[in-house]
Amino acid sequence: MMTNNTQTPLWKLSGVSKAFPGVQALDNVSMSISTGEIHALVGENGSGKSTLAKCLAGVHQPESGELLYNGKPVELFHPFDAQAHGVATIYQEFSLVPTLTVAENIFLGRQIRKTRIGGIDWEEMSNQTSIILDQLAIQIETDVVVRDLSVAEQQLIEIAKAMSMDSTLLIMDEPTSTLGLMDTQRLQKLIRRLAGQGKGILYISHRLDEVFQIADRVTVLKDGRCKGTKPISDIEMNDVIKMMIGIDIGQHYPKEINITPEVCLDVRNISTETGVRSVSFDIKAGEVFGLGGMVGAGRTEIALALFGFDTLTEGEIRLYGKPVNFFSPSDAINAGVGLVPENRKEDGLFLNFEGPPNITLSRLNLVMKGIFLSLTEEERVGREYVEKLNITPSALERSVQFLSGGNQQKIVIARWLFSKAKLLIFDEPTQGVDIGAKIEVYRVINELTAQGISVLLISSDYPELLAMSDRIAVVRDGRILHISASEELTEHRLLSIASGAEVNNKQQEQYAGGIQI
Amino acid sequence: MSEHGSEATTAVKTLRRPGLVQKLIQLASFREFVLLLVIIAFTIIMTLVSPFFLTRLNIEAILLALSVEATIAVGMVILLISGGLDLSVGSTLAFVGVVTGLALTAGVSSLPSILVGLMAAVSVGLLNGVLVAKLKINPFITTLGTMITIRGLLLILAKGRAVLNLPKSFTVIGQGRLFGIQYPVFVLLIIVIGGDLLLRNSRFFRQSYYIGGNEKAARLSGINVDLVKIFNYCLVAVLAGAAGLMITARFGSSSLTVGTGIELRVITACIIGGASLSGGEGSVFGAFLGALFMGMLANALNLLGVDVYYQSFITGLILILAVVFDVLNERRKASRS
Repeated sequence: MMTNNTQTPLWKLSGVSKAFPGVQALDNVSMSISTGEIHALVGENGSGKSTLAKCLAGVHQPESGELLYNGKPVELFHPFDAQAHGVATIYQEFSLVPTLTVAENIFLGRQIRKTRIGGIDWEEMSNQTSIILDQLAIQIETDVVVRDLSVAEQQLIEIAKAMSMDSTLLIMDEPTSTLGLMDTQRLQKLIRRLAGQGKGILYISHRLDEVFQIADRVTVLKDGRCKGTKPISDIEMNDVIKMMIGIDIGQHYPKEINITPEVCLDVRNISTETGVRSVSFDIKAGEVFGLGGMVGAGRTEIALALFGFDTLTEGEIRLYGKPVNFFSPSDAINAGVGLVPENRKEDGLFLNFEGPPNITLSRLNLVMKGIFLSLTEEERVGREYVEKLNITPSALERSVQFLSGGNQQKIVIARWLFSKAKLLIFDEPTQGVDIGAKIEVYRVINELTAQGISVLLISSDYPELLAMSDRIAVVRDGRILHISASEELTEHRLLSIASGAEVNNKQQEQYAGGIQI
Repeated sequence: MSEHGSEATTAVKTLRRPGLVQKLIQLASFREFVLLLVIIAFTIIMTLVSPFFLTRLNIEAILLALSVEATIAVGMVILLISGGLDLSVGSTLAFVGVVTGLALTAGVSSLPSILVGLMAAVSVGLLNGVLVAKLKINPFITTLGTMITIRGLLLILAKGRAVLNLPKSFTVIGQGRLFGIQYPVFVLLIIVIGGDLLLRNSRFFRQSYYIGGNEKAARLSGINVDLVKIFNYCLVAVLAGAAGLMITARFGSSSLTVGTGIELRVITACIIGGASLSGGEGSVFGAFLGALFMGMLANALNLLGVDVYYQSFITGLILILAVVFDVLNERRKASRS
């Protein structure tokens, strides 16, 4: 199982760098993976984990540095090259064909034929599949159509398919993010078995509890740099968290405190079919209430439930003391709730329009003259918000698809300012915008709260979340585990709760009894 | 890389152009403007070639033929803008003619008969709309299904025979004249002008552009997407029904095969007029000009005695040209960013 220093590692990365426009994704990263080793790769969102995996998988080509396979330098220009060198990657999205059977998927594109030009030898293919599945102790029939399998089972088939191609390195990118506890344990068993058979495993996860259960060594990335590799037996979870956070937290946040005692939003025990489980919290007028947690923890789902996009299965929502029942976003908008979605380009913008129609659409009745829309009034509104939010003037006459990320973001914010929202939900508002535009977004948040508007801030950028929020709730698996004033929370503590490192008895009680603040 | 290079040079060229030329180029990116120029040029050439082209009789003939296709195109372009598609308009057109014709021959007076016919259109629209918006069935499949079903249904209803001898009180809407011009021409003008005004300036119709541009964002911005979609399917069905009434009244009988293939001509007109099958783009005026251009082309080829088979050959070429023009125009816009 363990690494042997005298032996050549299976794969070695030496000084690998990779840049994308505006971001140095990997900066001089060196690490190695040995045969039979489970090597965990951890780091905050955006630290470069996936980029590193994609360099090994042949999806990205590093700009400098070397990849050594069994000690020999190789260049992987294409995923096929990586495959030929025994690298198999299990992504979060599967590459299985849902309408084909397990056996057909495993032998996709290389079906076994009776003779060289003959028909497909179904029996042989089925037998071989059984052998592969048996070796991995996967109990699934070979003739089941993949569509009928659970997500966890599909993942096992994906791994079986990778193994059937004689892979020596298996890269798994957040393999347990969609799995429950039982399936996670089943998967971990399979991973250990594969390592026992001499395969190298690169295990990318943000769940530190899992990493400490399964990995032999762990490498920590931060901002594209390698912060070190340690055997798991030589390191504490706390040290890993410290390495992930680093010490240089820039304090460039122009936070203003505008919180008032009046309760704006009061949420009691809401659940949805999308995975929100008995969530309770309140937001005061003028408060910035932060939702922290890992990607996929259920923060966006909470936001969509508050916005009437997903229906509640239980619980109640009060807005300024009045019980509200949102059946659609338009109900929520009319009650004064606005949402700046996570993917502004996919979910927020209308690329067939210039700036003004993108701003006015939630309250078109405010730009009417009689029974008709007044295009001059719309233009005036557009101009007003372009000036107010410091948006580039070209937004007035050009399609919003040509604006920068920051300007696009501000167009969506302008929409909700114009619609007179009392509660604004920001889902990852600064993702993919440059530092200048980030500070603009923070200023806008300050202006909003100064006017008594409440803000629900969802952010995976923890320094930002800690600095900008008045209070923070930590979400994991669709539940709120912890609520406290942001001063009482450190990045370290936030990360330990969010990653599952800190689950003590007190929180278990809170699970059961609902959370009191 | 080479693509980036060429984009950069285009951008530089654009910058060097003097102001007036640049303004003209901007105007040229409006489909309606280009089409209008093409139509004017076409008219001038045809007037020189054929003295009959610009006569009152010929203009009326063009507009009368246009009254059917352009009326449906108004509804179709709004539907296309919202990301929908309706292949069943030809069947609906004939269906409404037959239903109205049967009501008339059964002794029902004109106005109630017309209302019954239009109700039939609304039910086709509702069926299409609910299947597409609520059950999320692909619009192509849905309306292909209703297109075949409705054509079958009208054959069953009419027992395979055209409904003849419709009363004069009804046929007057297709044959009567005001200031010497046949009624359908007025109906056409009212629908086109009214449709253009509404689509440009009304809050309700604006929503179709948002839905076609980004359906999820439209939902997240509080637009009742399903309602707008269902309305648009009903609107195009009612306009197809109105076209059916005009044809039936003009001929004095309900034909069973009328409107066959009209759906593709209408969609072609919309796309020549600047609409896109992926939604979010287009205008009523553009769709009207597209239909007008196709109508003038057909008329001109007839006048010149060109074999009728060339008509679809040329129409097809123009459709392809229009789409290529669109793609190039998009690229040019993108290169300016």
